[in-house]
Amino acid sequence: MIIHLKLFATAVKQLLQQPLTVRWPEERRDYGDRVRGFIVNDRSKCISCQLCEAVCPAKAIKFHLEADGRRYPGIDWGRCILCGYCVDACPTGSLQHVNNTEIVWTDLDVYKKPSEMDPDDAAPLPGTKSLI
Amino acid sequence: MDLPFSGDLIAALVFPGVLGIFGFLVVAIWLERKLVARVQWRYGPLYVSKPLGGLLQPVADLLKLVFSELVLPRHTNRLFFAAAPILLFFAEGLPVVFIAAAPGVVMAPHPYGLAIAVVLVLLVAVLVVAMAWTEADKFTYVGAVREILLTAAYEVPLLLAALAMFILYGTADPYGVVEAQSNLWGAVLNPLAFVAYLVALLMATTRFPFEIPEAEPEVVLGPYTEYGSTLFIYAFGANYVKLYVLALLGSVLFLGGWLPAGGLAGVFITLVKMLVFVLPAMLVRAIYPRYRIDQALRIGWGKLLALSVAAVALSLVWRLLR
Repeated sequence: MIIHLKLFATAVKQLLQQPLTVRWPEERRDYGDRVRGFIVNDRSKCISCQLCEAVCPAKAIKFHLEADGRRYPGIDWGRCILCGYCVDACPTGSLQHVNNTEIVWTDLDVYKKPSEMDPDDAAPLPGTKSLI
Repeated sequence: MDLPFSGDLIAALVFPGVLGIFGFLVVAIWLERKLVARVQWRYGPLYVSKPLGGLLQPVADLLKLVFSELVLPRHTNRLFFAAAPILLFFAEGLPVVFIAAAPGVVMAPHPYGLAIAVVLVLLVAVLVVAMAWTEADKFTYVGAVREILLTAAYEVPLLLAALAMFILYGTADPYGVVEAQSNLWGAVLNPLAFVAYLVALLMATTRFPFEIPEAEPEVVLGPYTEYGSTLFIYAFGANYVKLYVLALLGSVLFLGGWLPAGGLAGVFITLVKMLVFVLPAMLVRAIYPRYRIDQALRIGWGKLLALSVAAVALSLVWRLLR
């Protein structure tokens, strides 16, 4: 009998507390500013050393030849596990995490291309937010 | 009588009657989802009618169900298949005819009205079994057997708890019962009967610790498995109607019905008192796991039966002392 009253008391206590979940599109959870979000490449710093490709445990990074005659890393987001090894391995600091984990692509081909890795493209947008 | 319309018309159309039943269906489903969500630190239904806290979500769900395809399986008796849930729904609401929500607000006043209501509640369990039988499916069959066993577990304590109150008041008249509680509520005079009734109510409406006939991981939805569309509303809504009826009966039997007031205010007081039965019945979903059928039977024929017999004895003692 006592145990049942305790159960009800616990339920009523939790009933009066605030919800933990967030109402997603209107409300975002604050993960701080050191989130391992999506990874962008600053092409002015990139030396095409391919260390990121070598270190990637998920084999998500492939190098692509671009119009300026150099090779740049492109990330297959279907494979990427956002572990951040490539960011750690990058000798010049051209690969960086952005503070954003919610990115949507309209096309399966788009998300593998290196040109998608411009920092501005992956930056969180206010309002409609992070829908690239 | 200070009511603008005749009492029985209000009783039939508004409060204990049609509007009350369908309104309760919407509010109870919303309340159940909302309360369980809040206990689990979630928001619950919200996006339909945000200012109302998602109150219209069940309406949207019911509308969606109405417009979904109705499937009548070929291997069943299709007339009975379609008729059973509708019959069940309205049969579950039938006891309301004999229960008064306020002085004068009753459809059919009868000196044994509340006793008839209790018996009707118990008789309707047969229709659930009949419905499951018509569906001709293995899950509904298992659900029907479980329903029979659970009915066997709760009907004696429920009847004895009601009997204890009838003995205590010396009447089963819908007005007489409430008048007898003018000094002290029945729940205070005979708390044993109150507890027995509350547990029997959870069993009768297959609320959570006893949600055995429609245990989702085991038998899909038990007796309601084969239904979709509008028939599902009737089949599954019947449970909520039963809860409504038993809460109304309980508020009249144990909590003094409309007592501090009469007339239209009495109706609202009865409505508020029903919450005493409805809120725990909604909350248990977030609290308890499910009993096995043998555990439920052991409770029904063990502690609960003992409790209800003790309640009858207590009523007899009160009766003799008076």
